[in-house]
Amino acid sequence: MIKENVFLLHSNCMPVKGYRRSIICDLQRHEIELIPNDLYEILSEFQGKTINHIKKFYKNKYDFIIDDYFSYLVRKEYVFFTNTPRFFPKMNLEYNSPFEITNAIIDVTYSLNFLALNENIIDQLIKLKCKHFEIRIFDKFSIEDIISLLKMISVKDDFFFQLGLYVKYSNEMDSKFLKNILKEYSFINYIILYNSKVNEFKKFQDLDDRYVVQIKENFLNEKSCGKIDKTLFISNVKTYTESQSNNSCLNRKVSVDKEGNIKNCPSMLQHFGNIKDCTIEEALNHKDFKKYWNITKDQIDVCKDCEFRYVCTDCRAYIEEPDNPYSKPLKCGYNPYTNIWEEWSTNPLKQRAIEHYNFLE
Amino acid sequence: MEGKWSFLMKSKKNKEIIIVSEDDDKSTNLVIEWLHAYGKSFKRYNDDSFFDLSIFLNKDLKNVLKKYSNNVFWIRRGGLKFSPNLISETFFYNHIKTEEKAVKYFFEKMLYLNRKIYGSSYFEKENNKINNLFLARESGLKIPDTLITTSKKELNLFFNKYDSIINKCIFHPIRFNIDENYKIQGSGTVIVAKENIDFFDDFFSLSFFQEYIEKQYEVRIFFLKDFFFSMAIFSQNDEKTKIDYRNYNREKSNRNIPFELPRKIKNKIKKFIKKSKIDTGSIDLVVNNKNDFFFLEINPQGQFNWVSETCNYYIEKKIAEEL
Repeated sequence: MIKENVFLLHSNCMPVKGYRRSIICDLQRHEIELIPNDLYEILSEFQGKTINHIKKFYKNKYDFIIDDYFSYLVRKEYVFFTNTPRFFPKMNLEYNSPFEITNAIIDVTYSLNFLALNENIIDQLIKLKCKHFEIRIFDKFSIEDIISLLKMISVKDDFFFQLGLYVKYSNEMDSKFLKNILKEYSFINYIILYNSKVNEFKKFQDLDDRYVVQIKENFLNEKSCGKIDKTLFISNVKTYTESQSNNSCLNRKVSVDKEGNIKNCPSMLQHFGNIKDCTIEEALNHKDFKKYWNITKDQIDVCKDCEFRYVCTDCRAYIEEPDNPYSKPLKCGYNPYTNIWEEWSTNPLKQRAIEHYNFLE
Repeated sequence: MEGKWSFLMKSKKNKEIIIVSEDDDKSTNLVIEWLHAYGKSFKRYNDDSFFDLSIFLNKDLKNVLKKYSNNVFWIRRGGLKFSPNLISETFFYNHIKTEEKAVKYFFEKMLYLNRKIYGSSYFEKENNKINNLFLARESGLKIPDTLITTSKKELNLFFNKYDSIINKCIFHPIRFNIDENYKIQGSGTVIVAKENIDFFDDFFSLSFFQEYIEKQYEVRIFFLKDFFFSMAIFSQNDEKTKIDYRNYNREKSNRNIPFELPRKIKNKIKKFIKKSKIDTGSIDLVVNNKNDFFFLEINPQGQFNWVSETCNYYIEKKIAEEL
């Protein structure tokens, strides 16, 4: 059966070509697999053809390699064989969302009226139907303060939203405490504890997909953001489709930085008003607010040649050439022309930009 | 019939959608997001919320649904509940429920005739596998040979005709709560072996048997009125899901990908939908190695969010537009 039938990629397995190698993004199983560019060529040129057809095309010189490739593809369930390829359309790559804003970041610092300030922001986000928001607490808050913040949010039940929480680790935050918090406040999707003693990923029974991550790194301020790393790559339908025509980090995002400035991202300099005298909606209407939303990886220098371009988190706040919005993320140490990952911060070519952003301040 | 009744509800101003669902139904939440985005007004009733109902039957049949002339109903999960919450805690509630059911089915039917409802609790609650198989066959769809019997003799004859046969529940999946710690749950679809049959008495309680179709893949179709979204499920590679994809393998999911139904099959399904009067639901088909499509069953209130997500179909958006 396999011999006469043509092969097709399962349409949620997307091959993406890089300069020297390619990947298959398995959007269903959330995996990324490296493949050689030769195999990419076979997958993109010969879908809907039989294996024999491919072998013949290469004048039967590489039969052994081709068989090898296909046994790998079958084992990973990337391809299947069929005599009715017309039944299996390509996946639609449209990205859509009911609301203009899908995600938000609020950076919180301590002040006497921090509750009232943040309530105002959260009310506005709820009005905009923002579904995911992240609250990042850079100062050391007492546990009581954190809980009063969560309590304030918990009474706003008129829309379903999910919250991510960045908090500085303290000894009181043991497993029991964290589990109770997640149980009590069902809108919390994840908690990230920076400045922890260990790096650890925690899930609890009966709490579905919700989780706690402990990281040793100290998240001092918004300048800690923007790192590009393999572990942050996401292979799913949403990210893949969104990054086809939008920026995977900044699209449909609003932020309020620790000074109350309304921005696309807290790490960016440009702001569009302060929460004290301007609403988020007003800021959104500024002609430049959305200027990064549609910058795709296909338009960014270097990234456009990178095999990871549709699974990457990107960053437009810290870039190699601060004056060129289409330059590569500064905090990316990957070179798609050599396939080598290096430490970004010590790269001599990046020092000027590093100085520009004052990371050492 | 439909033409005759359509004058009953004409007014279109201030349309309000009535959604009947369960508290934690993800699909409902997603449809609601799109309703917000489109600025459509709606009211949600979960399975525990009371719905205030009045129906008028008098010489002027125009008034039957007059209170609901601005409403469209979407029965996503469960059904409307017409008892105030206090009553549902009493010993006579089971009796009230049967009374309610009679009204509920009538009410749904009236709404259906006026094209003011999507889905129904009737088809979910009274979903009859055997009747559906019969209607599917009548609509020209292939079905696996099926035997419903009380007789070991018939079962043996049936067994000998096929390489392999399966058994599944006729109406509801088995679930007995013996006590707090002890529950019995059916194992879904199972292969029937010769040893199983030998173990039976000559007569047994009604059981459902079906020829096992060696499959290439399964197809799950979600439909609502005229739109169809299909997904192929490659469940044959996995021992766990080989017999029925619902014996889920949670570590390594089956490959699920967008599927385009051949037009001939689609037309037969449309015929089935018309005959059965089920206007929304999820249909399971199985495709054998000769590319024959077999109708297995329909779940009027089946889950579709996983189809929507895995195939990037935005079904929820489409529903919100339709309502």
